[in-house]
Amino acid sequence: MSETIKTNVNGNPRTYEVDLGASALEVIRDQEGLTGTKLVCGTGVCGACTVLVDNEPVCSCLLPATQLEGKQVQTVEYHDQDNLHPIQRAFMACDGLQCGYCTPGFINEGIAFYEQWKKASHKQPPTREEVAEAMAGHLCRCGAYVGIYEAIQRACAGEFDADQIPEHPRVDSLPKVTGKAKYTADVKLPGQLTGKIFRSTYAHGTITKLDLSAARQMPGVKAVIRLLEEDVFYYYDQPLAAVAAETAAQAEAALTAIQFEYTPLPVILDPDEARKPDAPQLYADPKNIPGAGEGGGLPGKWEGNVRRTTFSLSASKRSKARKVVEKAASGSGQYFKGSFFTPTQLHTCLEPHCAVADWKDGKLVLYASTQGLALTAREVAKHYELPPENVRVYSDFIGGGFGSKINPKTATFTAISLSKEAGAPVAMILSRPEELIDSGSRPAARMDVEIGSNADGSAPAFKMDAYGAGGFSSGSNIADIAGMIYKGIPRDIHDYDVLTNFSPGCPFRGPSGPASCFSLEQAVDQLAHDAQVDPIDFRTGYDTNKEHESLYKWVKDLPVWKNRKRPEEKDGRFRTGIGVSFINWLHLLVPSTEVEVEVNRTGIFVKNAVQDMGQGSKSVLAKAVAEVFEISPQDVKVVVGDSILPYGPTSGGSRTATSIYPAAKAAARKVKDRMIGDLAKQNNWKNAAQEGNGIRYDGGKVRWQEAWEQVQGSIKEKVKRGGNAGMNPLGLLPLGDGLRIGKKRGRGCYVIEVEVDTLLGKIRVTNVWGAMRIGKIFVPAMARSQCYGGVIQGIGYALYEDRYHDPNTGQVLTRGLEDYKIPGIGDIPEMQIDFLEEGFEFVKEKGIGLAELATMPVAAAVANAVFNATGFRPDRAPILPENLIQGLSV
Amino acid sequence: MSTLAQNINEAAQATGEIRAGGTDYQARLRYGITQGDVVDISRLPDLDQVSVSGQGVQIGALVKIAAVADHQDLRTQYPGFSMAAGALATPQIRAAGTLGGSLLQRTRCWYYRHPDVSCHKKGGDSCPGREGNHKFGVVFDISPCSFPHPSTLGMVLMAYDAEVEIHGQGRRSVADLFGDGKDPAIDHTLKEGEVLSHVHLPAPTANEKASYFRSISRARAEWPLVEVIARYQVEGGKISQAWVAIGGVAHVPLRLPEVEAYLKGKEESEWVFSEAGKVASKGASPLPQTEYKVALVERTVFETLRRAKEGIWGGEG
Repeated sequence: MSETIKTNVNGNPRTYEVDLGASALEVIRDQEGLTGTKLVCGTGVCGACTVLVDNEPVCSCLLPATQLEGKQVQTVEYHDQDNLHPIQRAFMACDGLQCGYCTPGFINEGIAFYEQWKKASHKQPPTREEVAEAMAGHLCRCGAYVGIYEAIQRACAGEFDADQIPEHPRVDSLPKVTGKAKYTADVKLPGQLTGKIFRSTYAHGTITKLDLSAARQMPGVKAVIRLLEEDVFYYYDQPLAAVAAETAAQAEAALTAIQFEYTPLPVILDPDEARKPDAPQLYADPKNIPGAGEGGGLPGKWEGNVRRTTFSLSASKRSKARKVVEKAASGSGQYFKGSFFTPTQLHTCLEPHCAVADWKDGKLVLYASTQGLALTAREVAKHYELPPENVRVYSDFIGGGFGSKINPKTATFTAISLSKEAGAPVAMILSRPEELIDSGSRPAARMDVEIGSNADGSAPAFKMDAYGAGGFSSGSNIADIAGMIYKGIPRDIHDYDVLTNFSPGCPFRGPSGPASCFSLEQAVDQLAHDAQVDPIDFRTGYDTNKEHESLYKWVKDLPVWKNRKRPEEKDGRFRTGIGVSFINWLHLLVPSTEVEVEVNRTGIFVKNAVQDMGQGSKSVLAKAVAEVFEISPQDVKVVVGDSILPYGPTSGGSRTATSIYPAAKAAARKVKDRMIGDLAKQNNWKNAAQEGNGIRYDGGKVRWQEAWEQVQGSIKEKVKRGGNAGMNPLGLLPLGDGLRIGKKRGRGCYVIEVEVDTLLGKIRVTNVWGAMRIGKIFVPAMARSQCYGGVIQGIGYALYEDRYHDPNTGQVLTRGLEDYKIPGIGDIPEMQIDFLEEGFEFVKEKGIGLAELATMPVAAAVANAVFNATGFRPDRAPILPENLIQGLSV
Repeated sequence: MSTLAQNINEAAQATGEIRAGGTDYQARLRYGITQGDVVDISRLPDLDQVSVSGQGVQIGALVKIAAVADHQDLRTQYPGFSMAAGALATPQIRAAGTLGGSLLQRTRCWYYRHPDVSCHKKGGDSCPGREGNHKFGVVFDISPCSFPHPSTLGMVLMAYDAEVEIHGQGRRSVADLFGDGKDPAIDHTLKEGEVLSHVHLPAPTANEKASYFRSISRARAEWPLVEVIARYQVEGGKISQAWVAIGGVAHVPLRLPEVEAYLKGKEESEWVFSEAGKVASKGASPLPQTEYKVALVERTVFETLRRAKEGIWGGEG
């Protein structure tokens, strides 16, 4: 049954014919075309779809469309750039956003809160608690909560009531706060079809029948394709086939017409079972397993379901390490032995993996939510045997990636293949359950650690066997990363991949690193505790790495560190604790990155085929050019997200900023010099040179804004990043985009304070102090936001997040955001991040990347803080109330 | 055929699942858990009113949860009820969800909400959670279904001896609305054609001390591991009467009469509250993965009573 409703959207009277089951979201997005309203969880948990109905924030994904009858609906588009609400200005000024996908929901909730606050004539701005309470129905995966708190508090204090666009550090924040930013999931081409995927309903089997013929006859169906080439499938919900139809409902209906039969094969879900010598071998030829692991990995040898690395970059003095540990174990020193377990963490990008493909006459236009635009163009051309010039990929706004959107995957290939088959554009957007089940994950892991030292804590050594379980993928290097944290500590380390019947893992921010820290840094902390030595003194006792000195000093100078007490000095129900963890990460760069700067009479442009998934690459490019011309970054027009532009790096592994910034700066300098020369000649200026934000010449000065207008035609310069063409030893990293490893490593640490409710087993992270040593910081506001996000994702890993599954079938049970729990705004601590701007003077522009460092040590520092508070050593993450209750009762 | 009901008789006669605010129904519909006809009752007249009299309160089934939380008389006269209404779910859900819907919502079990899984509540004859992952399952195992009932307000209303009115049939207690919980197929005892129109609370209790509290892992916006409502009166320095109920622990919300009896005549002390917690966990029958909830039952009862005594408003922690 359908019903006619009369409503009003953003001031415009509207009449719709709606189905009784339709949601308000469908009316707003599909009928009204207001794509600022985002579909993320579809269950009312994340709030991205929040709109105002008669000024009250509601989740439009759950609101029946019939309830819009007679109402005033206000979406994020209501306040456009000429009519900004103070809340929108505040979000821009305080950087209360990163990828921008959750932003429209926060903006609407913020507007309602602001208006109520004003109406109640409060004398004070709202407290953090009041903001957290009001925003409890919104989730941000990038971790922009720090800026969101500040934005709402300062807006309510009246700081953004003036009708002007404020200074804002993120150059693309305006389209994000007004709903104008178009993400891949918002693309709608004429005649666009909807793709849906048919997935396996068992965890391992041989396909005996996959009959697509009935599906082809279903109404509205334009293409049906088989996705899995081989006959064996390896996990529950593995993509097998796909359909494209005129409507989503038709595509769904066609899926039910696919006939699928299989012969079951053995299913192993528990990695410890998979490791047993008599376990059935899950993959006949594991060498050819998808290279979807955590980053390539070191050479290894397969035995059954287990791959053992045969080489380690970072093992050192293996036999000495074994001797030290054995001696300590025999009672002559400090000794700790333990197994640590870390969860499968899901990237949970708020924009799901998606692509819109339009294949016409041997040419492909692809809109893709990707971290690797240029890489995707290249890989797709290769896969479909198209000349590179016949492939064009767009990705202007990306709703989060965190490592899961580096290489083109199921959504992209499915959209393309369906479009090719159908001869029409196809949108393939994963549903939230699909996103949580099969878009990559940080593999679960088990680390068996032994560490020993002399009785006074001196001369330690350790052993680690780390087992990464990334389902149907390999490439874990947890032990190797643990081995790289310190110099001067003998270690015997081994990495293993264990195959199970789950969807493949993939890189996730700081791949392997959080587990490395969670195990080694807890073991180090325990030994320091047992030896009754300050944990920093314990480290300086063995660590010969000079690059750590400033970090150690930074920690020791923190007042909170100086006042740190031992766990046995604490009692009572609520106990606070302080923990620390260190980490380092490769200095990565893409020398082939090429940036073009252009000046013409309409202004100054910077162009690169990079993408900005919220980390701020657009802002980095703008800043580089702005610094050269001494103008505001907002006056630089940034053109990215198009594969036809000069080559841009993939955003992954902390390589983007250090690849694009130096090239942009060099190109800007060249353009500037040419421009001054050209204009001087044109105008007969004598002694023309830059002075501040313009050109000074004998007898006058022009500002750049006026100077652009005098440019004849355009002045363009392209510059390659080049330089530091370091090594790529042993194929350690996937090099699709010309990635290289530079000298030295970025280093960082966090000191974290927790408050533990020992009665209810609840941990609250109250304060975080961070220090990052990565050389020069190009855009401090972006770097800070990266750290905040890294801390927040690390808190999720430490305390809340885990992918749960049915132990019998391998079905993923955490299919929605109510069950897969990511941190909310009320869960975040106060944070203070310091940048130690040293150590990379030899690098072009003197700075390197940050994103991985920002998250890796967080969970370890939380765990060490929990130990410091309670004396309970968390052996597994997430540290749930049940773990603490059980742990403290022992 | 789906129906957009204009009056309550039409709603009672129509076939299909009743939808009020839609906050549960639409999520199930979107992900293929629920199909078939819907009977939308959101436009029924007069069911969105709160009427307060000295004899008690009548609240229409379509009153929004946020309106319950914000109602001044309810805040002062039924503080535990009001507190719970303000603490559950999120502001947007409270703004759209109704009181009736919060009582009659379906289970949040992740097996029930998996489209490929059959269970007692979906016409099947087994509970996959029992042999599977029941980490968030029951700790009082009274039904073949191993997942706890989701209704916070149902639990709270049980502790207020509230009744529901079924159109054309009169009133029954909230406890009867849920039944004994043994039947794994149902989340409440209403049958097709029975429409819940109102909730009635008896006259308020003078000088009630009350608190609602849920144990969760994050700061906010999470289904409870264990949740408790506790209210009591004090006369002459002793607890004269107490009402305690618990959720997140069994296939229906549970009143805890032994705890109430234990508290009667005792002083308001942390020792007494702690003992009350131990009484609450008597008879617990945890599943292999819910052992931890036994301690959490004891401690959440303690914490709720402590908060009632201290007059702490706010329900999550």
